[in-house]
Amino acid sequence: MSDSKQMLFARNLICVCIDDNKDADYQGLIYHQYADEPISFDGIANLILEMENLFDEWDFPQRGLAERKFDKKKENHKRPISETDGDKLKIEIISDAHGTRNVQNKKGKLGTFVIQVVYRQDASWQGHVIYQEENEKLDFNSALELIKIIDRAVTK
Amino acid sequence: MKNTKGTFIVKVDNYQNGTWQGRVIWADENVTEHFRSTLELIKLIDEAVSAQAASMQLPGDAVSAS
Repeated sequence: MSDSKQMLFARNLICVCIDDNKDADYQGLIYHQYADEPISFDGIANLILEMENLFDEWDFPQRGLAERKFDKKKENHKRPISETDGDKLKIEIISDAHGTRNVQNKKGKLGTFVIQVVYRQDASWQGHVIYQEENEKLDFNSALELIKIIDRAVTK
Repeated sequence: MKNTKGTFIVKVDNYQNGTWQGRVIWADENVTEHFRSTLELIKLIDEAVSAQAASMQLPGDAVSAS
């Protein structure tokens, strides 16, 4: 492993700061580039849901498969139609409106993870994660693999 | 998400693309859905638990808005 600091560059970069390990689960904050205030999460499932909400909000990375629901009436098999015309991506409009912030300078009490989800295929996520404390960059093929990477790093 | 309940029967049939595929039965409502990843399973359970919580608060429940 080289000494240089591992970095990621992407529009949808997220920094997850793990601050606590209560009730056999993890609590902490989610930073992204388009807001000053972090989003707090209580539990890994909550973290995953909040991240997925952000990707849906940004429409980036675009989801590969339509969402499944118990309530079939709530399923939407159409591509989301952007509210604005023109060639701009939704995330570009959000970026123009809110500006961008550095998220790679944050620090969690128990662990810090900079995450880039590159694709949302197979109803899951594929991408890269940097475990900041170890300056270690890893790839994941699914949200489950990302959860395992985080858990393994923090319990080490 | 406090005080919400749900019962689920989960059958994992496959492990492909680094994640789980299978079926989940929402036992309270007796509906089945197939899931293609752990993420999808988490989202389905969240949908069910959120729906349960919403329906529990509807009939003039004495839940004070804190």
